[in-house]
Amino acid sequence: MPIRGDARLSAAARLAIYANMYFFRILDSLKEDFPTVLKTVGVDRFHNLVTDYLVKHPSKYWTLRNVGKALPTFLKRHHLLRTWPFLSELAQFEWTLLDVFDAANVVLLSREKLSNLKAAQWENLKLQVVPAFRILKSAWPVDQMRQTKRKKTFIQRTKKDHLIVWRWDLKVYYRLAHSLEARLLKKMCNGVLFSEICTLAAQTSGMDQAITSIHKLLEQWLKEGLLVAV
Amino acid sequence: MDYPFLGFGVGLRTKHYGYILKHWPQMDFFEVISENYMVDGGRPLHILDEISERYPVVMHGVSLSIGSTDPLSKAYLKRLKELADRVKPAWISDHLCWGGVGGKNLHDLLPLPYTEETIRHVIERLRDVQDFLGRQIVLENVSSYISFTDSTMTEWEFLKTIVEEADCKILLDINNIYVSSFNHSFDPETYIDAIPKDRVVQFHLAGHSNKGKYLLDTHDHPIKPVVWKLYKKALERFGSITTLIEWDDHIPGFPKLQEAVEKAKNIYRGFSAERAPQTPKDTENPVAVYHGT
Repeated sequence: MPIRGDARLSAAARLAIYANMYFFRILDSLKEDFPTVLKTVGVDRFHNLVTDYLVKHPSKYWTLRNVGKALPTFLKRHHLLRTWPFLSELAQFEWTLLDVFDAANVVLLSREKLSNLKAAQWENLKLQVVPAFRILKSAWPVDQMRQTKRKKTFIQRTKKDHLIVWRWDLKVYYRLAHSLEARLLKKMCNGVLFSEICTLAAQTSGMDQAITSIHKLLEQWLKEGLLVAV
Repeated sequence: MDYPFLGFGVGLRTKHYGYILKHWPQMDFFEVISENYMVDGGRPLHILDEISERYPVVMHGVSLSIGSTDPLSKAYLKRLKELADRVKPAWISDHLCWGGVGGKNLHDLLPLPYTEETIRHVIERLRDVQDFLGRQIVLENVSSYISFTDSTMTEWEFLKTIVEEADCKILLDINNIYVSSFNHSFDPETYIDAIPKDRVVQFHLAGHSNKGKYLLDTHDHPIKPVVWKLYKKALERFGSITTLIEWDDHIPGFPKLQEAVEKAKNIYRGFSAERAPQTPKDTENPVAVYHGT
């Protein structure tokens, strides 16, 4: 449908106002969502990155919150990766922080509830991690990059680490998890019987070690607000 | 549906969460951007629960896209209804505009062609929305930078016909009227005079930027004197209308917003005094009887 122009502003100039607002509104939103990516590449390259990104991924969402969802994957094939090989993993980490920030609330499994379980009830106890929990594999210390205020050089790890991200009591937390813990937590994403957790741990480290490990992990997960009972 | 005079409020913004939770400042009501709270959980909803326990709240959406030719998003409406059930807002508003097409979202409030065809289209969709939500919708006029050669009527005629035929209410954004009047060379007072008195339930007041050849509705400045003047004109026509100060970018500290609220109240007090000299003055709460609730 034709747009009306006048002596003051042509139709094209009027339409350009909206075109610019579309871009800068999303740019501002992505700057907030990916502050460490922004800090790493700088304002101008981030601007160009968002331009490239929007050509491939125009927003399909009714909320700006979701516009950056595909940026981590998009970065895997972007030329900036040649200079900053960790950029996609860093973006994935920052997106995950956002993703758990407003994930669903649940009633956490309490130590009291576990203490009151009778021996026979443990067999049927089904454990699940909270909805605001994600597990990432990263070859780069993206968690440290986020925390570092000044620019510094980071070394790629020899193997990918497991980084867990979750929300507890309205705050978002993250830390590395060793491989057994990561395997168990992954299993618990969809809910799993406690007995299966024990079996999995025993297969990895033997029964005696497994009992000690599970005990320690349960203590930690309860303390960190990671579990729900289903 | 009842539309009480809520008084004078501000938009709830993340920047002010800490201040509000610490001081619980005097504020007649808060307006929340619906989409910011249409999430599963976490801090945003927690804060909103705290606020809505203590203050009246109205919900203001930006993504209904009532004029789009894309089908209405059932997922969006479901989320909106869930939020309304949780917050129990005094009312729900959105804009008379379109915000996307072909499955793409522009995250903007674009004007519609003012034609009979658009009116039929919007009315049908408004009825669907109101049926789904089980309540009336309040529609806001947008500021605009383009108009269409196919338009056959003025914006105010378009707005009036739609709200009357779809039985909606109006959130009249005074700043948007002024911005559009400059950008499209019409008289803002003509606009105000043409809006039916019984439809307006809320005013928006905001700042804009002068870009030389056009005005941009930036919501990042104090309200301009010319908009305050138009607000007085609107008060004269519509009477006691719930008024909101909008500030969305370069947001100042909460006390600065309170100053703008006070200014709106003072203008309203002047208007009230002129209009109702026979009413005994309430020295505690001189603005209006709404404080007695």
